[in-house]
Amino acid sequence: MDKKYIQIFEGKENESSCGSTSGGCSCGGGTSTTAVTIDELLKKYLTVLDGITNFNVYKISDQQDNDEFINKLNEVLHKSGEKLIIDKTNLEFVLSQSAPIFAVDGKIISIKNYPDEKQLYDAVMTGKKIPVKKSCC
Amino acid sequence: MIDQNTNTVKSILNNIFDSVGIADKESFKNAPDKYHPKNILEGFESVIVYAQGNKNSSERDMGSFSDLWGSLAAQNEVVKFLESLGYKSVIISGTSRSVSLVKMCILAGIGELSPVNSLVIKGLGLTASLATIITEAPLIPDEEISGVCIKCMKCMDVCPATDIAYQRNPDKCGCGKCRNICPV
Repeated sequence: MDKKYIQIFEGKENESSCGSTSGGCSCGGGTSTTAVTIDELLKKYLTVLDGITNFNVYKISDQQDNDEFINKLNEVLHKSGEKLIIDKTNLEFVLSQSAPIFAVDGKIISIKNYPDEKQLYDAVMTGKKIPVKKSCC
Repeated sequence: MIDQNTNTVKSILNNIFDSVGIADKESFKNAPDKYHPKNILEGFESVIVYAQGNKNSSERDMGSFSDLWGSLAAQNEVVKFLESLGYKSVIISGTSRSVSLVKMCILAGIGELSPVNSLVIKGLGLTASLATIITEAPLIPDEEISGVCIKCMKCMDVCPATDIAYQRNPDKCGCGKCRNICPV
């Protein structure tokens, strides 16, 4: 089986509407009530997905342009059949409403939440989208 | 021109949202400074408000638009359209604490307050998710409406804050019982 390619688009810290890994809200996110870093999260994911997936994490930055982030996000939006086009002027707002965004082989499978390793494994295997968590804020 | 711009804005948003309304700057003359749209955009002329009902969604979807990408695309299209005309415009999502979306909806003729102080919208009851675009563009405002709430008081009957609901005790509010029972 070909390896699956997982892309994770992160918003600014404390900005996502739910599931913040940095404690931005009080709901605890999708994985734990303890704040975890993306590296720790990737380790968790690799416990079930090692050998069958490759990961790429994209982060936005205030210090440099976010052209690669924007290009990659537009690619997955297009491949997912969405007509929204991201540019520098709407990037922050869109991410505030949708980050973190997970895509498998270029198609969006999860938004607004960090799925746990089982949810992500199931989504990778079945291609089914992970339900959006109830808005917490 | 204002007619045309108003129609264009409403046409874009009506493709996605269940209810769209507009309030002009004059409508906010008595609005408290703390929640005034000028805090977001000093030179604003209009506030465009839109709502989507969640009556057929599970409770987990409450508070967010069911078609997130479609709703973002529509909002983005409106902002791009207005900015192409030279009018700065800002999208305010439902989680903003710096303006009162409910008050904006009332002024924009989308709905009115229910007995439990939630926004009731025709056909959507108390289930709507809300957002707004504050813009420098002058647009034709809608009239405030009344008579949407049928005063059946079912929301009051199930509200755990019953006798103090009018004071909106924040510790008691948020159970969602009123949303589920509203017949509007």
